[in-house]
Amino acid sequence: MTVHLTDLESGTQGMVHRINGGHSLVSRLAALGFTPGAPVTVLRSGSGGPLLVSIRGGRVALGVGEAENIEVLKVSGEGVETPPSTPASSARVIALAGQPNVGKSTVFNLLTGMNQHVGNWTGKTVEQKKGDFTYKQAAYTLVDLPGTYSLTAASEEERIAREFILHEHPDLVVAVVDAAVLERSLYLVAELLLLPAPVILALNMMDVAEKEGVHVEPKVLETALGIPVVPMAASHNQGVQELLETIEAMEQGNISYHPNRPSILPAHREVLAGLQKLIEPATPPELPASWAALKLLEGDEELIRLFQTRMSPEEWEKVHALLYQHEDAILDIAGARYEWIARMVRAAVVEPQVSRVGLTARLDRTLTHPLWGTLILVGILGLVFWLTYTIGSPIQNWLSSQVLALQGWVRSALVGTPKWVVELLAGGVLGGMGMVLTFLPILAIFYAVLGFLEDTGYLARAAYLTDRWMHQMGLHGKSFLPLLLGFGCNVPAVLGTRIIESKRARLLTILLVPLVPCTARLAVVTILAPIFFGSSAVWVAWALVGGNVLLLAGLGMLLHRFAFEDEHVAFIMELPLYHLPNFKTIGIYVWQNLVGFLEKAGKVILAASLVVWALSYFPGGDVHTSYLSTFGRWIAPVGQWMGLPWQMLVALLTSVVAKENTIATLGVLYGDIHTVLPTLLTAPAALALLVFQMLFIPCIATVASIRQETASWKWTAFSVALMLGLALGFAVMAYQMGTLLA
Amino acid sequence: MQQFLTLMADPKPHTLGELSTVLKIPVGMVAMMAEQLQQLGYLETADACVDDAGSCTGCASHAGCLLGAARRVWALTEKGRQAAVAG
Repeated sequence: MTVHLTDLESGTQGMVHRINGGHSLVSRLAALGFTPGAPVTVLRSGSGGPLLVSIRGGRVALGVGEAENIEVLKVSGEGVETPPSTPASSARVIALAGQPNVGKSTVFNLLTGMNQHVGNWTGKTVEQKKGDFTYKQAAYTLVDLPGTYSLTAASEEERIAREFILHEHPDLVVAVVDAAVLERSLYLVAELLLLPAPVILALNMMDVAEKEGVHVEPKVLETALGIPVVPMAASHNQGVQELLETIEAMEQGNISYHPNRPSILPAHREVLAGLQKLIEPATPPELPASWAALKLLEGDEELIRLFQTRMSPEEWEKVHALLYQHEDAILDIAGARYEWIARMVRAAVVEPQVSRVGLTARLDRTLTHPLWGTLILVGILGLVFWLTYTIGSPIQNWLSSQVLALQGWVRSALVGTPKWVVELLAGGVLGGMGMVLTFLPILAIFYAVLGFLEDTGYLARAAYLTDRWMHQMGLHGKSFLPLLLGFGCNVPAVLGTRIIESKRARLLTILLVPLVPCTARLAVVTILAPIFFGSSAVWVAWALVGGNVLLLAGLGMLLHRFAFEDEHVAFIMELPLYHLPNFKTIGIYVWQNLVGFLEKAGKVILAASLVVWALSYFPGGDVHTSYLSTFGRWIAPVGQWMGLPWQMLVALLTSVVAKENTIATLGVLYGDIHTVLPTLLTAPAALALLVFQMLFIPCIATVASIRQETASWKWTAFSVALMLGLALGFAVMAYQMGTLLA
Repeated sequence: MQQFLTLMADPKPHTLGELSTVLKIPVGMVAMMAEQLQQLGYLETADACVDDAGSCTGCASHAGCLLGAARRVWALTEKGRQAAVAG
């Protein structure tokens, strides 16, 4: 008969049956020893006040609220179990196995309560947890094995787990698995079933699985596995009683145990049998010879060492030759385990029609389709620019007018101060760095949209599509990843080429990296395009990015032809599930980028602005007679090919320090770039400016990385010259063709 | 496992989802197989983020790195290529 603990009178005894209430209460009470099956004696009943109870050899005071959540089985005086203060020597030993994060510790705590001993495994640094409990007068010792994914002895945890089962001979193994990702948990079970101890499957996290739309049929799984399966939600104290009953029934021999073990694929069955025959005489008695043979065939180094020492050199040579000949047998052994897992999952798991996995698969059919996916990607890219310009440009215009007003105020407020100081502040600092800072709203929107795409999981598809597309153009394999990194920043992209083994391919990939428009280049285009092209800026920006990618692909084809002739590398990419974006994550992403930009503005851009200002002011205080002007006139003929005045060329040259300096320099030299720039350049010239900006020599940090990675000044100079040549060539072409068509 | 490697012999980009459809097993299991093949030396991860090299430290655009988030990419090793061809 089940009653609440508060219903028991002083001196009466009961057995904990169930604990209600939230997870925290269940955990707290479990830590005090209140777990199903635990005998409890009420020493003093509440009468509105706290209860004093004796449980597991200790005394615990409980509030009425807590005690009301504890359901107990009322036990008559004579039949009460008395828990031993220490486990009896005859206690059955149960090993608790499972992967990390499957709720193994919760199950351990629920079963053992306060009766836990924490130490280290003998001679190891890995923590060992043991605990005792009694159930229906039988004493048990529960040993919490380290969390492992398999028993391959690849780590100390795996070695401990399997050595315990092999050498300590537990009476039972309880394998805790996560019902929500059953396929990931069953590999360990497949290995446990090969060991001598009987296994009970604790199918934990059933509540999580149901929440995620994964329905597992415990009875079907039980039939398929041939071992007892207990559905549980340990964090809610559900299934513990059933687990105890199953343990007891297994101990009493009341449950039939006919495990359906994975078998090796046919190709290696005979080999396995031959190997077993060879090693049988040398197999230690505690190891099953069939298991040892299988592990040897898997290439288990620990067992290889063991048999090498236990066999004569001649005998070992035969074994070694067999193992060498069948080095890839592990593929068949593990393959058979995966087939076994797939069979179990197919039998027992019902995936709903509408789930995140199903939704992702359906969306991916379109979004990663070579044609439709690419068109959508191109559309999304256009949308990114459109949103940025539509929302950001009006704000930027307003901020720009504020900076101009501030410049005017500085000039009037500092009357009497040396003119160069006034101009340094108004023209150098405000005109350069100040103008760059007005673009913060545009950048914020740009990064917010990118962050949104990243957080929903779409950007990974964009990367995958780009790879597919590059593959079609012949540029594929290991050069793809660094190139993709280049969209963020060219510096890590150059360093990322280290994953390419072939020196020739690596060098050519390094040369291609600067063609990938980094976020800084994209930011400059985002800022300049609407100034020149107004509402058509979206199309111009879109075409510029597309042009760069096309050029990259064109050169990639050459690279494929001359460098990747024999190199075909396949990739597998892990694509995340689509999910609703987390706005906090996006906010952090935007914030990090803006802080990075501000740091750059406060250091590199400010310094470059001041240098440009100084060169444009001195010696006479007039830009037309300045040092910069002298230099500008010297390079002016080059600008004429593209319809650009020397000031624009100087602005482009300063972008070598940092790409954003183009804006800063234009601000220093022209002041209100919003008003002035459109009057200075024709549309073809403006297009030439943007094309030049997109293809020009990368920033100095990227050039330094190229030098570091190629370890050659010659190739660094070649890279710089290549980008300069491409920028000049395509910008002249854009201007001349545009002029012809205009 | 052998079929997994054989599919990888086709030198084009794959996704775990694609392999899951062909192998008729859940995506999670494909990821597990990839992890195991990596452990066995048949696959190697081509880590997309190179932050370990310190290259991203101090980079103003580090948060703009499109592959900054944990996302795994695997490629065949020489051992894997041989096994794929043999299969």
